[in-house]
Amino acid sequence: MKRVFATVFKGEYIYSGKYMGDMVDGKLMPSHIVAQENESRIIISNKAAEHFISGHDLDYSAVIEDNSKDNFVTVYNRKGDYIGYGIKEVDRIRNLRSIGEFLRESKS
Amino acid sequence: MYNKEIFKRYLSLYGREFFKNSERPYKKTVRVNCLKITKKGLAERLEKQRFKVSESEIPEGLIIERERKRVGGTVEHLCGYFFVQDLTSMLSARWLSPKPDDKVLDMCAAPGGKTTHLSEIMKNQGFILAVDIDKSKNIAMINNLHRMGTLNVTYINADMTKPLEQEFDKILLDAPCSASGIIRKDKAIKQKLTLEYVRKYSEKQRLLIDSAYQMLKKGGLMVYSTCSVDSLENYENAEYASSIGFKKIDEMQYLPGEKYGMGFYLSKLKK
Repeated sequence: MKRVFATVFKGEYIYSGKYMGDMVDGKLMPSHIVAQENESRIIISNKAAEHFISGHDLDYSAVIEDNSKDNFVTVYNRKGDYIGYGIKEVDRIRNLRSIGEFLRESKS
Repeated sequence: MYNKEIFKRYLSLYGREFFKNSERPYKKTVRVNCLKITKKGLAERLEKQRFKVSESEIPEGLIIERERKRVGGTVEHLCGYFFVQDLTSMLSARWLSPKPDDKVLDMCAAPGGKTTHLSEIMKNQGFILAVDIDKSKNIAMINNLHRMGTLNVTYINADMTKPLEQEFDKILLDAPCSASGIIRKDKAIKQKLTLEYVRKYSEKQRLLIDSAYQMLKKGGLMVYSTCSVDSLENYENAEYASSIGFKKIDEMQYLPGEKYGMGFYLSKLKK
C-alpha cells in the first residue's frame, strides 16, 4: 500500500497537503477527504450506520435514501455525516472504507 | 509518592495547594473543529447522546461534565468534529495566532492536537511543517490529520535539535517535558519526577530553542510551551531564550486546579 498526496512540498514526507488515498493493487482507494466530494450517495439508518462504521457490509434494506449515480457510493447517516464508502451490489453495500478505521487503528 | 527533592522544591515554590490540586479529578475537554461544525451544534449533538457539556473559558473548547460512554468513540469524534484536548493545550496555537498565509513550523508535533488547531486557525491555508522525531506516533498523527481534514500540513520525522535549512514566519515549540503540570491526568508521572529528570528535559529544551532561533525569520514569532510547572523548564528557559537573542513579549504559568485545570507554561518570544 502506498499513500498518495496532492502536495507542493518537495522532499520526503509522511503526510503532506491533501491526502488523496492509498494505492492498493494498482488502484486508488480514496481517502475520506476525497471520497466526500463524490455525489453518488446513499443515506442509511442509524443502526445500520453503527454496523457500517464497525467495518461490516450492509443489507440493501438498510438504505433509506438512494441517490447513487453509479455503483461507487459514499455512505451517510441520517444526520448527514459522511461515514465511509462502498460498492453497491444487487442486494447489499460492500464496505470498502469507513471512519471506524480511526478507532480501530488507534487501538492496534 | 513524590521524590523527596521534588516534593521540597514544589512545596517551597507553590505550597501544599499544588499537591492537593494535582490529586483532584479532572474533566475531559474537547476542542471543536469550527471548520466542520459549530460549537452549539456539537454541544447539542453530544447532549442528545446524554453527555453533559458546558462552556469553557476558551471559545472553541467544551467541557465534558459527564461522559456516558467514551467521547472518543462517538461518530462526532470519528467525523473530525472535535479533538480531545486540555484547555491549556489550546492556548499554544491561540497565542501563536498564525495568519492564513503564514509559513509555520510545529517542532514537536505528534500526535497533532496543536497542529490541527493551527491548521484550523489558518483556515486550512498557508503552510505548516509539522515535525516529530518519534516514529511510533506516526499512525496517530496521520489519522488525526486525515480525520480533522487538514489540507495545509506536511508531516516529517526529524530531530529538531538540528535546524532545517528553512525559515518560518512563526514557530510553535511545544517542547517535550517532565509533564509535572498534568499529574491530575496521569498519576504515574509522580514516580518519574526527579530533579535529574527535570534537568535532562531542560537541557533538551534549550537545544530545541537554539534550533528554533536559527529557523525563525527576523521579526518572526515563537511560542514556547510545556505542560510542566518547573521553573527549570519554563522561566529559566525563557530567560535562556532571551540570552540568545529572543525578546520575551509575554509569559504565563498556570498551575493545576487554576483557571484551565492543568499546569501549563507559555512564553511568547520574538526574534
